[in-house]
Amino acid sequence: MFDIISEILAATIRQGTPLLMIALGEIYVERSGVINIGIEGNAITGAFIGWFVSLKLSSWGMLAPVAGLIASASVGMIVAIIFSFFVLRLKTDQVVTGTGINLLAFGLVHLLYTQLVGETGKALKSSIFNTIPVPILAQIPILGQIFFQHNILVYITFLSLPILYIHLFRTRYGLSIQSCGEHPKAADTLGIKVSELQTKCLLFGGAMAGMAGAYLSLAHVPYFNPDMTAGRGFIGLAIVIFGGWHPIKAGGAALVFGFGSALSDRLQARMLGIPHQFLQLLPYVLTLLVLAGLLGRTRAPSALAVPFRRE
Amino acid sequence: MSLSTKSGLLAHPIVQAISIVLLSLVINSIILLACNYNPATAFSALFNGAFGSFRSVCEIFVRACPLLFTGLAVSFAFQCGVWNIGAEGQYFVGSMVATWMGVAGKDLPPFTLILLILTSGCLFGGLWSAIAGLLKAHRGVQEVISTIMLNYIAFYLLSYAVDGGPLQESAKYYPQSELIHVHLPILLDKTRLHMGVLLAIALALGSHSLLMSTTIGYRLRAVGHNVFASRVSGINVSKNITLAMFISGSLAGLAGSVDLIGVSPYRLFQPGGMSMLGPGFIGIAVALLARLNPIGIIFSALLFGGLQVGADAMQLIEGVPAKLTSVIQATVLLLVLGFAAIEQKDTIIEG
Repeated sequence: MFDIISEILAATIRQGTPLLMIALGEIYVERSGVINIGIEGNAITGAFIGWFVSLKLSSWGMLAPVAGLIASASVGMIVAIIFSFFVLRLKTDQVVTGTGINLLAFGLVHLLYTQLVGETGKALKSSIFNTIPVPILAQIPILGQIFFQHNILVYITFLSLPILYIHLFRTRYGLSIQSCGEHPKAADTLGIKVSELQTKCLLFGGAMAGMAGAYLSLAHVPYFNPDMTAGRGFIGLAIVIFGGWHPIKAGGAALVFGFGSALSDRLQARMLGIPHQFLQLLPYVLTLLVLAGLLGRTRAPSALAVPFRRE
Repeated sequence: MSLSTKSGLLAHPIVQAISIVLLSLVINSIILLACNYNPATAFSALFNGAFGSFRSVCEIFVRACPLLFTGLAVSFAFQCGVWNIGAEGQYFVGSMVATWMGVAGKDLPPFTLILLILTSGCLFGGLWSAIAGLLKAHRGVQEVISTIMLNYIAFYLLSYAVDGGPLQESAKYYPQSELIHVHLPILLDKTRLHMGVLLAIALALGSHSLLMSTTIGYRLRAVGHNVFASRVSGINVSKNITLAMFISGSLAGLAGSVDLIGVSPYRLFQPGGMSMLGPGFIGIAVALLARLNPIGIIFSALLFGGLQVGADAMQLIEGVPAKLTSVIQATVLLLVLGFAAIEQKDTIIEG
């Protein structure tokens, strides 16, 4: 009994990690006033590139997935640059542009994947990040399995939460970012370079989304599948809101969503009399409730998705 | 010949649309070359697959039909200042309710049943969308996010409904609904061209006259012109938001019910996943390429429908994955946005 519970909780953390990575990047982006719904496309691109690079460099052994990770972050940033060109330079609508990026990314990835692997779907295994048990702590019964037997990306992601919190809320840089999302005109008057900060946040968000994708193809499973992101980009958007645009709260939100996934994976359709689809849709309902102010208080950055123009 | 988008040749929306399509072909040819495909043979397979036979041309209309509905839905919302990204979920809800009605009312006279199916799908698609509208009007929830969330909720509800849920076939074997016994009449023998296509075109023409010949239409157009060419915020439509979302969602819901009884196999299946190429999302591209003009949306939907039909042939003959259409659609969409942005800059420079 405890075995199943700790298995599910461990899976919760593993499922929550890529979601959290996406959300952390998007928190920076949205705090700076931009909404990037193209992170879904960003993630699948990162998943593909990460897997591909790791596959080609499999002779590098343990370094292969690291190379894949770096490649996915770089590609994520390139996608972000394309996005920022449209929304920051041309000031196109952010939502529609994000949709366009998603379409573009999915199409290109599918095209490239078919070229490389062939439609026969021969799954190729790349080298992946292995589980690294934390010495001593991993031995603790139950808790050890839940918290201390994960791969390195999980540890880094969760350890970064307090760091990002301090950066965003307690440093001058972080507060400048927030001012871009709240009152860009006032920030501009104070000499803050709004577009530059927004671009940097987009680059960060792009890298994070790309790496989250790479997590899926380099740590979650050693394969690539053109549908593997399964809407995680959009879930990431929900997590950002559910977590009140706050890194640590987003961590909690990511675990809620991760729990839903982990639970529905484990339970067969009607084990507790609850169809797994209801478990999976619950986090979205919760997000709506949070947004509506019925569950906790949260407020979006005031100038979110409003293109900034220097007058 | 001035290249300015404000005056001169490129100012005309049809010229812009054609240039966008041509530019998109060029860009995609480059992409195909980079992937070791031959763009000439690929595109000719695409074109022939789409227009090569009478049947395939009819098929274009069939594929364009849901896109026409969702394009109108999205366009209507955009013109009222609200971003309905939830057409996909509203489509799902419409098809679910239509299925329920089709099964529950199977003993009713066919004409009545068809009417009920269409109106119920339409109504509930609208109600689903109105949730987002209410959330925005009364709680200030950004409709972009709420409609996306509702998409996923609808998706999982549908997934459940035909898989162990109330809509599953009585044999309870496959995750699909019962067969619906009423169909929309087929207009031409040996094709799949159905009455729903006429309905969609009629709605498009109807919205066109609404926009051009009535006071409401004039007001919508004025708001719409602003919305399309400039920022989203600052347009105050709070009272009408819920209504706008309702109407928009009802069109998307109608798309779902029309597809159910218009296209074989006349039953509801469990969706594999939320596809970026679903009718709700492509409707956004359809609406924008047509600059929110209902007549333009007819052609835009036909273009995207043609892409789908041709892509299957292209995959069969040339081995180019059908997903290339996703790239084509994306480049079209991004080019549309680019042109619109440049046009706006020209306006500012000259103004």
